[in-house]
Amino acid sequence: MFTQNLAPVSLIDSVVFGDHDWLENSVEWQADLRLELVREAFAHHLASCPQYASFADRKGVTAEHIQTVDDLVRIPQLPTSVFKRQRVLSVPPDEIVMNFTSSGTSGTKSVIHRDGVTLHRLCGMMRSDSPLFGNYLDGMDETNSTIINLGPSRSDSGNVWFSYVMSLLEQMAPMQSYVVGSDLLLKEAVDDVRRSLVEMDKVFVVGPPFLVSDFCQEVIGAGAPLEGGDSLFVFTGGGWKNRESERMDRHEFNKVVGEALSLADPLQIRDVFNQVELNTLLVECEHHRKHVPPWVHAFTRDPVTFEPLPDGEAGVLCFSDATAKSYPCFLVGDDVARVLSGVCDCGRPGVTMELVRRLRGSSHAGCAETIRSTVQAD
Amino acid sequence: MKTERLDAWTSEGRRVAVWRSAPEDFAPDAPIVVMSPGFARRMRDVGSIALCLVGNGAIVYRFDSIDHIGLSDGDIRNFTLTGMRQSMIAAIELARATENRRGVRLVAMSLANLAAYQVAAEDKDIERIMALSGVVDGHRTITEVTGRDYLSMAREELPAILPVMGHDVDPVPLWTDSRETRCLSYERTIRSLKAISAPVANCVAEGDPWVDVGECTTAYTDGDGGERLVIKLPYSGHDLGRNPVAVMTILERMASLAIGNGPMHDADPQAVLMPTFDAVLEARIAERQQDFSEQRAAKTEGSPAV
Ligand SMILES: [Zn+2]
Repeated sequence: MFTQNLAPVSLIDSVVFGDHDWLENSVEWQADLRLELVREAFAHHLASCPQYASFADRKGVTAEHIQTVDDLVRIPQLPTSVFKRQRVLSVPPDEIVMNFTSSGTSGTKSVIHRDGVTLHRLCGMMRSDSPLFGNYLDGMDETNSTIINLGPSRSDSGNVWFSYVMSLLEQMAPMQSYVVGSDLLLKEAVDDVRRSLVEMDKVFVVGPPFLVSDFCQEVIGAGAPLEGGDSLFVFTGGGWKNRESERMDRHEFNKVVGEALSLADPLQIRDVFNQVELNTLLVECEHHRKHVPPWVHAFTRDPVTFEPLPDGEAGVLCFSDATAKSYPCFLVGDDVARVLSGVCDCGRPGVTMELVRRLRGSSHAGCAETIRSTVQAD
Repeated sequence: MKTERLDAWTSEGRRVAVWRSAPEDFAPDAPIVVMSPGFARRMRDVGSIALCLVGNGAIVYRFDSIDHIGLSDGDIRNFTLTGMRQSMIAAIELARATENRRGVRLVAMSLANLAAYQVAAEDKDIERIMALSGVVDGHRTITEVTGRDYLSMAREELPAILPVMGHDVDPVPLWTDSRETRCLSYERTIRSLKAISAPVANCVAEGDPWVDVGECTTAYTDGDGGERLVIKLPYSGHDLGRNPVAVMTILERMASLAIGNGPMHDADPQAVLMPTFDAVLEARIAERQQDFSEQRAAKTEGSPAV
C-alpha cells in the first residue's frame, strides 16, 4: 500500500473556487482575508517579475512592510500606462495563453498577458452561485437560461478583453452572440429574445449600455411589445465608449430599458465594472454599488498628491487584485470613484465602489491637473 | 479531440449512451479508458479529464448510467448501483468490440468506484483502476449524504422520496439492491479488492466529508490483491471538479496513472501533456451543446408520431 500527497491549493484558489460565502462574514473578517491574499500576491510578483521588483525596490517597500490591513495602501502601484509601453510578466513567457487589449479605438492600448491560472480564476468567479453576483443569478442554470450577447462570440472577440470577458458568461448558460464582424444583428437578437422568453425561465441580454440602448430602440421600432416580465435580465458593462455623448444617467437608463422591455423590476438591470488590467468583475448590487470581493483591495488616491484617501472620498480609483498571477495587478486606474467599507444598503458587509466618472487624459504622468479638475468638478 | 456518440446495451436490453473520444491519430496499443462520472454527474461533466487523457494518446469511452441523469435509459429516481455496474460492463464490452482489444482501464468518480471494483473483481482484462474521490464504503457514504441511515431501516419505514444531491430518488430500488447484492457494503469492497490483481489508485481529498482517507487506506491494506495507491489531496470537499486549478494538478497525476504502464507509485506526472485553458473551456461548451442536442433528439425519437 502506497500513499502520496499532492501539493496544496493556494488560499486564493480556495477562496475563488470554494463555496464559502464571504458576504456572510464581517467587514473585519473580509479585511483580514484581503490582507492575507493581497500580501501573498505581492510576494509572488516581487519574486517573479523583475520590473515590478525593481519598481518596489525604488519605492522601498518589501513584503515585510505589509503587516496590517492599513499597510495594503503601501503596495507600490503601477499606472496603467506601464502596460502600454512594456511587457510586464510574472510567469515564464511560454505560460502566457492570451494577450489582451482594451477595446478603445484611439491611442496606444494596454496589453495584458494572461496565463491559464489567471484566466481560470476569472472563470471561477463566473458562476451563478458566486457571492460576487449577490443573488442576481439565483436560480440560473444552463438548462433553464439563455444568454443573448450583444457582442462578438469568443472566437470573434480576438484580443479585446471586454468582448472576451462577456463571452465567458457562456460557461454559465448557452449563449448566442449577435455582433458579427462590425455589425450588430439587432433584429435577430430581438427575435431570439422573444423566442427564448417562451422557451426559457431566464433570458439574459448582455452588452455595453449603448448597444442595450440600440436593442431597446429596435424593440420600440418593431412596434410589437416585448414582455420581459420577471424572466428577462439585462447585464451591462464596458461603459459608453465612443458614444459618450449619448450617455444616459443610470436612473434614466433603467427607465428607458425597463419600459422598452417591460421588465417587472428595474433591479433586473445590473452593471459590472471591469477593465483590461483588472482580473475581477465588480458587480452591482440592488443599490447600484459595486461590491469588491476579498481578493481585491480597492481604494482611492488624491489626484494631486497621490496619497491614499479616507473611506468614501472621491479620488483616483486604485486596485490590487490577487487573482492575477501572470502580471502584477497593482494599479492606479483610469476612473474617479468612491470606495466605502461597511455594511452596504443592500445589507451585505464588505467594500463597495461607486464610479463617479472616467478620468480625462490618457496617462497619469503629467495629468495631475486633468485629474484634479475632474475630481473637483464633481 | 473528436467525440462520437455510440450506444451500448445492458444484458437486459437497456440503452447506455456512450461518448467515444479519440486522438486524430493513435498508436495500435493506445490505452483504452472507460470512464464513469459519479452520482448526479453526467459524462459531459468529466470532459476535462477525457480531454487530458485523449491529449496523451488514450481512447476514452464515457457513459451515462441507466436510471440516472444523462442520455441513457431510465430516470435517476430509480437509481441503483447495480444499474451503474451494468452500464459500465456495457460500455467496456462496446469499447472492446469497437477497438478489437481486451485490455481496458477504468477511471471512476465517487460512487462509480464501487462499480469499478465489482466489475474488475470478475474481469481479469481490466488493466488498472484510477478513482477520483472514490467511495469505498457505499453504505456509510450514502448515510453521510442523505443524513440518515436509510439502508438499515425496515422497508416500510422508508420515505416515498429521498432528495439526494438535488435529485428525487425512490429509496426502494436502492435499498432492495443494497440488501440483495451487498453492493454498497464495505465488506463487498474488500472482497472485490482482494480479487483484483491489477493496480488500483484513489485520489481523495483530506477534507472530503463523504470519503474518508483513513477508510480508503484501511480498505487498500485489507484488500491488498495488487498494487494499491492512495493519493491524498490537501483540499476540502467531494466535488473536486469545481476548482479548475486543483483539477489541473489532479489531472496531471490522474492521467499519468491512468495511461502509464509501470507501477502506479512510480508514474511521472511531468510526462503528461496538459490541455490548454482554451481547449478545456471550448470542450466544455461544445459538449454541453452536444448533450442538449442529443437530449432533444431523444425526446423527438420518444414522442409519438403525429
Ligand atoms: Zn450592496
